[in-house]
Formats: sequence, structure tokens, C-alpha cells
Amino acid sequence: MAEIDLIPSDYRRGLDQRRLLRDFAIVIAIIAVLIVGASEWSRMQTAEARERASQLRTNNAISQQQQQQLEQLRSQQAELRRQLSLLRGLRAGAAIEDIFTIVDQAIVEGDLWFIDWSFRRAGVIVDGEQRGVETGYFIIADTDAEGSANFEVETHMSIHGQARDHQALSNFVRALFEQGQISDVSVQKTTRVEYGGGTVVDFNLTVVLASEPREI
Amino acid sequence: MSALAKVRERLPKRSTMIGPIGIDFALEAVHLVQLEASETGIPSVRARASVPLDCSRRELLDDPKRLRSTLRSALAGGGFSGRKAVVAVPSGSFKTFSINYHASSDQSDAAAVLRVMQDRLNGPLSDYVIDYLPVNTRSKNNERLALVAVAERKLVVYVLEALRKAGLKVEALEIGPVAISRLVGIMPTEQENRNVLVINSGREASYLTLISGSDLLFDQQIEFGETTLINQLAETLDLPREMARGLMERSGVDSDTAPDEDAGLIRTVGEILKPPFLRLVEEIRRVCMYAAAETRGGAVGQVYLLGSIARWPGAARMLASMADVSVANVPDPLHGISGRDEKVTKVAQSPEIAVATGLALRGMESHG
Repeated sequence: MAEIDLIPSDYRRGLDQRRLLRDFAIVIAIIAVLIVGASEWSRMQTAEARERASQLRTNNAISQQQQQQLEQLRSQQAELRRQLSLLRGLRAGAAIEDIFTIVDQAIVEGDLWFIDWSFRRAGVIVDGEQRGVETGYFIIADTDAEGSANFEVETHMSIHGQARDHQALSNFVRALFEQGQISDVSVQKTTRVEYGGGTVVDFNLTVVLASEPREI
Repeated sequence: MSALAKVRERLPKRSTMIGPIGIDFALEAVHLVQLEASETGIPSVRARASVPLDCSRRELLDDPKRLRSTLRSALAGGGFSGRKAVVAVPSGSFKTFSINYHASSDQSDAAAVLRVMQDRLNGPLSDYVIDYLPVNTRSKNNERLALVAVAERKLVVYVLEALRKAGLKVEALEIGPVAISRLVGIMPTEQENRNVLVINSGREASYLTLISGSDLLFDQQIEFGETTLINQLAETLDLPREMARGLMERSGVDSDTAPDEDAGLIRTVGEILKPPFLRLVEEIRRVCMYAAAETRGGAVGQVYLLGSIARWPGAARMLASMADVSVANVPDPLHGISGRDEKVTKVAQSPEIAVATGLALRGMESHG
């Protein structure tokens, strides 16, 4: 059936075009919103990534700082251990009673007597070379030296005494050497002195009782 | 076939087809009807509403805000679906012409119609919107008959813009007679003669629409309105106009069914109104002669009354006795169209919605 329609064709066309334009504008608006949204999302992601990178850098810096602190602490620990070892060494060594017993065993009664004696402990760096008796109280370890050195705690006993004669002194020194714990005996000085109408030998000697070398 | 159409074809089809909203801007109310057709093809009323106007129709159309609120209030509670609408150009804003034109092989029917209309209209054709309905029953010696509807372009665009601003998507702008002929076309009839005359009476004028089968043969405005009749009655009986109107709507001109105490008055009213009714009868007879001429002797088998005078009791019977034709009030426009709920069927007994129903039927006939 034919129909009557009084809508002007150009008006209908205009409406269609307007609707098309509106749809197009809506699509464009949606695309624009999507683009803006995507760019905003991207911007946020970038900012977040930057923040995360910054955080990681900070964490890394903190980690490096902590690493340095750890190294320092390790170094301090090593130093403290070394000092602890030294102190232990200093506290160790032969017991005083033993020293007296050893010395006493070497004395021939009536041939030799002590006027004064002193006792000290000290450490020496052991470099493998023959060396003389150290007389200082402190060993200054050269920490700048490359490699580790063996540290030996020595117990020194300095004895000032008098002997009936040099033979008696010699017997005493030999007897000392025969003791297992004596590492060295060094006669520092002998002089003849008047004593009771006769002469005796005044002497100074050093007895060294060495401990096992320790690594520092 | 476009890609969109292909996609749409693949989609599951809706089980019901919802038609456009038919909108009729009557003088006193706006009527809206929407139909739907199920898979079985039986149309049913989806929604309908009638909103009385608190101003004149002209004022309503001149005020987009008021039009929008009126339509919104009508659409809000009725269960309407979508905003596609088929709207009738308000009566008085268009004219119809029944024209004869000669068809030729080198000229389209539309061009021939326009050539004829050029002589009938004042001013250039571009000032008007013109559409026509060819009448199939008449075609002899290359002479054809068409019913042409004409409206001022400015007015049409104004109405369309007002409706667009009110949120409606107007699919078609029709005229009332076409909607009525569509409605009459689906009415069941036992008569062999399918010539039907519909008299749509208004306050100031009435419209005679002659329908032959599926063809709209003729549509004419005549100076016969309710106001003229009421004024004559009020003057003769020395009654206020509103009282005279109330009397007519209550008792009409049917003395047979009136109470005894009113029968005398009603008979008097009938006598007073006979002369103006005779003018209408003359028009009816003229139309009957026209119908006979255009349909090879076919008589008008039925006259339907619609509008304000149809509400007067006894008016149809008086006209039938005076014109010697079968006259009846237009059947319930929703007769045979089931309502989807009780609310719709309850209010469906009003003939005022005939035009709106006819408009809503546009595009639904194939389902009916």
C-alpha cells in the first residue's frame, strides 16, 4: 500500500546527515577520550616506572652504602680479631710458676744467685730470619705491609745476678738451654766485682721462653 | 547488503515487532497508541495514552517546552517503547485534493501530479510539501486519479523540529484520513461493498473521507462542526452553551432511549438540529454519487461517525434515517487488537484514538 509522508526529503536528508555527523562526533569523542585516557595511563605508567627506577636507584645506593659499611665492619672485625689474637697471645705463654721452676732447675746451689730480675711479655714479628732478642714492651705491627705475618709472643725474663765464677754462669746458661721451654738465653753483660774479699761475676742475661707463632 | 545488515541478519530476531508510536494532536487532547506484533502476526496494543490539553493545540505546538513536557508525561506511564513515531499533521494544517492526471511514458506519475498541482496552489511549489496516493481503482485512457496531500513547508518543518526537540524520531508525517483508511482497512466486514465513508466531526469543521477497499478516494473538509450546532441549540433554547453541550453529550438526539420526561425535549432538539444535519446529509449524498462514479457504480456501504458528534447519542441513527444509508459510530479502533494488559483494554473503548491507532498501524499491516 502506498503511503503519504509529508516529511520533506531534504529535511530528512539533513536529519540523516546531522545524525551521521553526531555519530561521527561521538566516535571521534570516544576515540579522543580513549587517546587521552591511554596517554594519561601511559603518563601514569611512565611516572610510576620512573618512581620505581628512582626507588631502585635509592635502594641500590643504600645497598652500596651498606656494602661499604659491611666492608668496614668486616675490616673492623678483622682488626678486632687481630687485636684479640694479640691480646690472647699476650695473656698466654708460659705460666710464671713454670718459669721459676725451669730457672730453679738450672741453678746449682751456691754457684749463682739472683740480685734482681724482671719479667715481661711481648710479641715479635716472625719473618723467618734469625734475630736477636727484642727488648721493647710493645710490638708495632705494620698493618700496611702486604700479606700476613706470623706473630710470636715471647716471654722475657731479665735476670741480674752474680755467679761464683764464669764457669758457674756458663753451667747455668747451659742448664737453661737444656730446658725444653727455653728458646734463647742471651748473656747481656758480665763484669767481675768485689764481693766479700773475693771476686764474683756480676751478670745480666735474658731468658726467652717462646710460644707457638700466631698468625695476625 | 551492507556489513551492518549482514550482522543484523545473523543476530537472533526479536520475537515481537514493536511498531512506531502513533501520535494524533487532536483539538482537546494528544492521543498516543503503540502496537506490537508477535511471531504469530497478531497485533496487540502495547501502550496507549490520551493527554488532555490545558491549552489550545496551536499554543501547544508553538511552545516546544510545553510540547516536550506533554509528550513526556504521555510517554512516561504508558509503557511505550522507543521514540520512533508516526505523527499526523494537525487538521487544518494540510489540504487534500483529488486530482485526475494523465500519465505518459516520458513522464513519471510524480511529475504529472506536480504539474497538475502547480495550477492548484498559490506560489511556488517549493513553498509546499506534497505527497500523493494513486487510486488504483481508477485508470482509464491514461487518466489516473490521485489523492494529493499538501501542507505548507514552513509549517511542516516547524512541527517536525518541535517534535524532534521533544525527543521524538518522526518516521513519517501523515494525514488523519490516511490513518483512518488504514484502520478501516483492517476492520472485519461482511459486506461485499467495501466503499466506506468516515465522517470525522470537529468543533468548527468536519472531514469526509471516502475509502474504497484499500484506496483512499476522497477527503474533504465541510463547514459542519459541533460549535455551529451547539450555538444554534443554545440560541434556540436560550441555554448557556456549556449546558447545551452537556445536554447533547448526555441525551443527544435519541428520543427513543431517553427517559419519558426528557423525550419531548430531545425530540425538540432533534427538530432544531435537523436543518444543519440536512447540510451534512447533502454532503453524504454527494460523496455517495462520487463514489458511484469513481468505483463503477459502487455505493457507499457504510458511514462511520467519528469525533465529537459521534459522542452524541442517537446522532448516527438520525443521520441514517435522513440519508438512507447505514451510519454507525466507528467501531472500537482496538477491536480485534488485543491488549497486553487489562489497563490498556479497559481504556480502549474510545473512538478518539482512531487516528492514533491508524498511525500506529503504519508498517504493521503485514503482521496483521
